[in-house]
Amino acid sequence: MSQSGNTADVNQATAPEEHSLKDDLKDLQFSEVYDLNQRTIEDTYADGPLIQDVAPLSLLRSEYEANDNHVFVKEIDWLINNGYHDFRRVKGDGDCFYRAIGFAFFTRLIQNPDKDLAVVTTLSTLMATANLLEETGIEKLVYEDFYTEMEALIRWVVVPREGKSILTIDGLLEYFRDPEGSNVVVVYLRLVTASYIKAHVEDFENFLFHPETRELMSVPDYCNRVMGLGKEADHVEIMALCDAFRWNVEVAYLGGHSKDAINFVKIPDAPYPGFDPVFLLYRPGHYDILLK
Amino acid sequence: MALRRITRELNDLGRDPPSSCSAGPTGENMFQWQATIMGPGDSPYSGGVFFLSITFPTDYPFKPPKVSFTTKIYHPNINANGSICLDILRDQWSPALTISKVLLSICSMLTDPNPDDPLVPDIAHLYKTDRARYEATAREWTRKYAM
Repeated sequence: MSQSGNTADVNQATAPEEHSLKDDLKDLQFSEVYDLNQRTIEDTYADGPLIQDVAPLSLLRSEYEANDNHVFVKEIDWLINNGYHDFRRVKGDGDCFYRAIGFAFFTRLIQNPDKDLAVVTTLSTLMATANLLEETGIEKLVYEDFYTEMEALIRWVVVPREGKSILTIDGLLEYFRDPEGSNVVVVYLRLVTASYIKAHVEDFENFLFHPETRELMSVPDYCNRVMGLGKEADHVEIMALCDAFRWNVEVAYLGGHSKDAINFVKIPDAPYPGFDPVFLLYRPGHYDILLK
Repeated sequence: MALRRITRELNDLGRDPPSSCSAGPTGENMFQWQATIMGPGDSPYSGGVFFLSITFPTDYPFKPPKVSFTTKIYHPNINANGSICLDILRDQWSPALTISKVLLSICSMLTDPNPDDPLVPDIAHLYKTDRARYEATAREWTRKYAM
């Protein structure tokens, strides 16, 4: 109804305003593409597990082809042609970024050719993140259960845990599919992300926009939001988290932002030594794990 | 995890109790607590002792505790059932919050109601338009139900 109202208004408009009608239409088309994309994401998840089995990217391609979404199809083709053949869907519950990156990082840890060294390095980074939490005023009471579990999960990569043999990708999948296990990782990553932003206010304060209203938020308000489950993450959170954990991440942004290939962003610009990057697949409002 | 965290919070409350609040389990069940808040001195609830019921969900602290007043109170953000309209108990909850912080937020809400997000619109309206009458009624209810 509001759309037909707009059209009536515009019909009476003079030439300069016609330009804005064009813009409106462009926006409408973009939002239609966006909505269609959201529907596709929702339809293909339904009540699936928090993290799904590996699936070929060609499956995703066929879903977008069925919806006549040529922009996405072209971008997915680029990914396939450049060796990214598979992906794992992550449930779109607002925690997908943290769940995806957490799972992808532990996968890298398990696959690391020098697991012992990688685990020791990761444990020392983890300890540094606990100091960061402490320094930014997060009570020990709040983080210690999450910290202890993160530590146990990292050790599990090289030593058996409570009668279970050392962690495999299947074991990791089982762990991440249990909401309590998964959410421990999600919450710890969220706390660290918020604390890193608080500790580096000068780097982030001009970029702390509310995801819906796009208004600039205060650092405490923004960080409180980051710490709550189910609150989506944006570029700020990715940069903060990767810096805090010294993780290398490459995000493939689908959605027509690039003319020829695809918008593939490396975070940080200069990778940290010792770990291969993890790949994420971004579609507006959603992250999945991309596999090479 | 929930039980471990609740136990930690209980120990912490015993070690370092927040001023003018107390909380603890009502019986054997660690997920069911009762809390008391002393009406803040600079509010019309001054002199009153207010009881609250706290129920922890089994997936605490991933989900917020359910907190409600069991003592009747006249306040724009608290209704006749004792339900509290407070963002950190709903969509602004985060596992970084604790019962201690929740009770402190409720205390500060007693001093500074939020009439723009009311649970009881009539009280919110009165608070905005006739502060003296709101305070008189709140004081009367405090005397009647919380002393």
